[in-house]
Amino acid sequence: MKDRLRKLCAATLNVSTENLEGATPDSIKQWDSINPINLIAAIESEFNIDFEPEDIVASLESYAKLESMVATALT
Amino acid sequence: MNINHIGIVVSDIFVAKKTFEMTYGYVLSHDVIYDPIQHVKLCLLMLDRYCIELIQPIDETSPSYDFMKQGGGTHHICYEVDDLDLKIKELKNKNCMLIKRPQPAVLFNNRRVAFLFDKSLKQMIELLENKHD
Repeated sequence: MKDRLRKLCAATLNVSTENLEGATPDSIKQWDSINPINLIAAIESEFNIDFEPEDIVASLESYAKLESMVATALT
Repeated sequence: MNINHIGIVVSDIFVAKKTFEMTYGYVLSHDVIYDPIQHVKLCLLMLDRYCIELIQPIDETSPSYDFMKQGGGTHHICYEVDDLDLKIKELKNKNCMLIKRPQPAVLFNNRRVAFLFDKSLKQMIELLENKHD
């Protein structure tokens, strides 16, 4: 899961996978410059999961948080 | 289901309102108000039978703040529906993602609205519940 998520986010945000470790909206300018909802939509489609509305905002706080939310949604 | 309005995000609602009125002949149908739930300033303008909603995010807590930072513009299509909860369920089964649960909309006399994102169209959708008198 981690590898697939990293590749998907890197492709969507147009950054290298290495740059995602510890990433936040402040550290990656593309995080803010694309519609963040598009990133969540791509993740939902890739993993066939549904985020709750409250989780969407929380998951965009950092890459670590996003990874954790996807892991939770898959269990 | 029918279209109620098109939502447009702007950085200065008074400048945008004046442009729509002076350049294109829109007529104000609801004056500028502050919506404390969404943290935005809102107004409605009409041209013929078509309605647009201007949205000015106040700060980063406004849901459309990031959109404004990217330049703003056409943000969502608002549809009126009879049964809001049923329509949300239906759209979630048609590749839409619920972004904001139903809540009262100050601009529409506290009728309930919800926001969804159509993943196929990459389009924000607002659903506005019809009045039940």
